[in-house]
Amino acid sequence: MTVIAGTLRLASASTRQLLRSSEVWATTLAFPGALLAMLWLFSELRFEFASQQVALIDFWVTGLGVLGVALGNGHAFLANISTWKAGGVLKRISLTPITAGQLIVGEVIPRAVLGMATIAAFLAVGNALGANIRMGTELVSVVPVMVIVTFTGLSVAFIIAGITKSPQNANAVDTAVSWPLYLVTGAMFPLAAFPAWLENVAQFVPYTGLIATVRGVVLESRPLTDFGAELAVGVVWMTVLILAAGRTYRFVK
Amino acid sequence: MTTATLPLFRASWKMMLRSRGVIAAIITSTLYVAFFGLIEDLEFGIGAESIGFFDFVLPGFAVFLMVYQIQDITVAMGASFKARGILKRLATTPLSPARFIGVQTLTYVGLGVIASGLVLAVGRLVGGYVAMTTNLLWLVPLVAMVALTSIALAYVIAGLTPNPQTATNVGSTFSFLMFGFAGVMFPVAALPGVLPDIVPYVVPHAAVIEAIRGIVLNGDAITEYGRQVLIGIVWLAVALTIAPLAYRFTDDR
Repeated sequence: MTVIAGTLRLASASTRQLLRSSEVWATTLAFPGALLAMLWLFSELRFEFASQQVALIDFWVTGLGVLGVALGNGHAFLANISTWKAGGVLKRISLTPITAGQLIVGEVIPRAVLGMATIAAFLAVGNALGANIRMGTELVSVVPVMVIVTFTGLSVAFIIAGITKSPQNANAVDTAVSWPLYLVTGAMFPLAAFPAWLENVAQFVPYTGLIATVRGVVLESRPLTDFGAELAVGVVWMTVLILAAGRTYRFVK
Repeated sequence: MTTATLPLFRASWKMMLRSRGVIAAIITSTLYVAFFGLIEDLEFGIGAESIGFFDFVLPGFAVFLMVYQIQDITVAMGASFKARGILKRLATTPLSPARFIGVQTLTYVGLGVIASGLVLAVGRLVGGYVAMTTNLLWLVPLVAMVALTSIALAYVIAGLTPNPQTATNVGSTFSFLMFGFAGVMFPVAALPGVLPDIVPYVVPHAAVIEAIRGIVLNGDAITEYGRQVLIGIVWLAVALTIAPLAYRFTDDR
């Protein structure tokens, strides 16, 4: 069996495992579904800030669609890889014809696909429930942005699994890392409502520029080229985090 | 009986304060509210009306941020006890499972009241409005009622779910919905149609949080919220009735 065929078989097995996991159904269906239902019922509510206003449903479907789904996906992935590490699974796998790298790639592929499919579905359902989401070419335009978001999230999961000793500690660190992101990335609250210093600092936080980009594209039909600086920050973060993930998480002994 | 219970209270309190989850819950609740204090210019808009964001969310968050985390901890603990048969094994010792659970519950209620007071105090320090009247003392029984109802509902969730993982997911989704519909995060008045009239009756905590908000923001007397307190008592009674039916506190059946 070639390496590619073996990896694809692993990816297929991982996909089946994913679809059987209650954790995955919770993060891709229950939470997003509950959030969308809530936003639909509060669709008359809007944020007013700095002489602007935006419908809550528009703001949260885009912000939490990007961040919530990405972090939820990363969280579920973290549970897997930290358990592998704690149980010495990768060390044992390295003694078999399957390499640890294949196992990881086989797990990352379905996670990445699932994450992006969830975000696309979230935006589409949000649109159906009244959010002002453009469903044309705008949705295709944000695919590369969602790739950056997804790989950033998965890299963070590898780093956390790498620097912690048990799945419980990994979970606690993940929670500690995640909650400030909901506050300072502009996912839940408009950054323009914050003091200028915090608004400026927030531009350099992972996800902030990516959320602004997705919002600009799907809510205002702006082209990706309007968001060069935001995308550059996102790409730099993704690169740094992927490199750090490779150093902190021991794929082989 | 009392002499045996008091050392149990002391042990339970010590264990709780040593728990990383509890410490993290107190710290994150406090930091959340401190962070909201940084929001300078944000209002909720409903029709032609505007409501200051921070003043609106402070009373609800002061109560519910801590209580929902206690609820999540209780769901995880209750589901774990169930999966590992802890209470069955405890039933063979001189300490009854009912007393064990009772002491632990009251300890968490005490923590909820103290932590809510702390979060409210931090909220005031960072610029939130709190009407400093003696009526604030009524928050003690009201917060205790919310905490006790939440803990009872946590046992219902732990009892009705098949394993700890599903219990945690169901518990988190339930807490999330409470944030939205109990008037913690969003004004119930922004809901469409007759929902603002129905929600205080059908959503646990919604009526009590309305009373808490009136006391904190306007310094209202508790007597102005007789209906809300009555609804809260009914919800507490319902939760305490269902909890032992859903969750096997003893091995009598």
